[in-house]
Amino acid sequence: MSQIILLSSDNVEMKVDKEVAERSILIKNMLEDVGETPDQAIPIPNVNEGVLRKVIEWCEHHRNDPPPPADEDSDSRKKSTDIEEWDQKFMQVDQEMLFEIILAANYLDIKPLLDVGCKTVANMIKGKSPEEIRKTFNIQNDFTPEEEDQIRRENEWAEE
Amino acid sequence: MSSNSITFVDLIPSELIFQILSELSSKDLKNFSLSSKSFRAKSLPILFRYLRLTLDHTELTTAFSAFKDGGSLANVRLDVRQLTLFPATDNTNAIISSYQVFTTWAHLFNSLRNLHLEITASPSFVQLYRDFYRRIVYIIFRSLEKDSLAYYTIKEVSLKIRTLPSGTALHLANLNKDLLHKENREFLEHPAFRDPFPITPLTGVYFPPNLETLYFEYSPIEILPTPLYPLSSVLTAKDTLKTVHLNIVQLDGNRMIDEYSFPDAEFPNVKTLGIHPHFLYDGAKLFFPLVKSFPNVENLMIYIDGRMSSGNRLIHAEPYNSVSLFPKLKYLRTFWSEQYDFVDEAQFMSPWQLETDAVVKGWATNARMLEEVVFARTVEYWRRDGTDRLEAIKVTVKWVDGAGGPEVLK
Repeated sequence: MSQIILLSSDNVEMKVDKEVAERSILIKNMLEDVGETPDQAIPIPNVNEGVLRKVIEWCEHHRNDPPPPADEDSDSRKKSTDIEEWDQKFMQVDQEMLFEIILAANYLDIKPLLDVGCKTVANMIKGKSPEEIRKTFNIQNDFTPEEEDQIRRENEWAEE
Repeated sequence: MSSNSITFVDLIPSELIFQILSELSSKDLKNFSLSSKSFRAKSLPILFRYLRLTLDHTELTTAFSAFKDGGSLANVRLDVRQLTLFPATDNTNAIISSYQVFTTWAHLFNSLRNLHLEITASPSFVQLYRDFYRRIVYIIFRSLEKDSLAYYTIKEVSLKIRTLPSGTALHLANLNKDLLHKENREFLEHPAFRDPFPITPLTGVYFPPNLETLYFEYSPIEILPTPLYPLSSVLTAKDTLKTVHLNIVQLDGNRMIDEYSFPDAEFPNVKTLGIHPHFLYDGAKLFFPLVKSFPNVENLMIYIDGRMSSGNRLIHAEPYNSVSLFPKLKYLRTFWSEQYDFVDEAQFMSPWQLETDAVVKGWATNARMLEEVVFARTVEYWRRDGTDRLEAIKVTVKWVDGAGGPEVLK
């Protein structure tokens, strides 16, 4: 099994099975362009060590997943926030790490990980009142009562 | 500026926020939009993709004002993809004046794809002014054509025409005569029917020209005497129209189709046709004019009403030549109401009580391209997505080489 070396933004090298790293379409395309397995480390400038380790952990676990069906049309895409158990546990991290993982998955082009990340954030919002949402994301209510009234009225116009 | 610290909506690119928020129900999205200014700003383009407004003069004016330049929602008006206008009353004057508000503001929404309109009036009114529904529809589309690019972006129109909000049939004998006269006067005096909308004969075509899908629900009173909605007015979309649903809730629905509405236009690219005939007296008679207007239908859906004789006509009428009149029919789906009355009498049977193979074989003797027939019990009809949750009998037609005729497989 051939291995490659990834270099995080904070200059930490990590050895990974090529097959695992190729869960990232960015890396896969890069390796295809190069043609042979490179000896030097591949720099991943946007992702630090902690996040990159996390991402690799995910790719290891999902190394044998079948490729996602090619570009399903968005209507038929299941609007389900079901996340498999292992992924749920995997995503039990602090918010900063969660958003870093989403950004890394987006940068590295790992669509299934990006989906899991987005669904995890969506689940943090689901079923919550505005006040609970504020608490979850640690933000303040910056609306005046009049503004809130107006928003409630405007929201009535959005289809249920 | 908000006093809030940096949150994920500041960190993550907009298209990812869009993906996250797309997972949310409308209710969750509304709560999200109420939590802070920056969260609201991110949620607006998704929240207002689908607008649903009551046909009420004041509400419409307030809502549309929010979308005009300088209004609180001005930035998202190009994100509005679907607009639904529904009546809260069958007060005809209120409806007319609301639609006038709409025609004034139609230019705001230049990216609409779906326009859903519900038009109601009381039975007495329609009885006297049979052209009323057409006139309203005409006014709407003409004003769009004049003022809004939406006339060209609209791909789907849903038109629900109801004589009462409930769609219930009502006998004229029950009507209050005074009401009748009062409405009569109001109608004649109403500005909607003077300038800028002079009463002229409603000829010609006026539906959006790039229309692909038409849902047409029509539930008038049963005694309507004259033509109501000729398909010729949709001929602007003669070549783009692909899918048509006709939900004709009228006691004598097939007579209306037969005599009035459909033989005046042909739509060669319509491959999918859904019909919800209130009553099927005679299958062939109903289908003949439909075949004339939609000769290339491959995918036919029939929603059988709760009345027993409707479905009975479909599956029993010899020689099963009703649906097989469509020469290119491939897929037939029939949906049977859960309330379908299964009476224990021989002449009324459901597909679950008889040999469906024989019925399908009968159809296939004429419909030489038939591949699959589904008999499904529906819980709720008029849904586009509900079929996979239904209990169904699926019959596959296997064509034997040459003219040997169809074999039917389950």
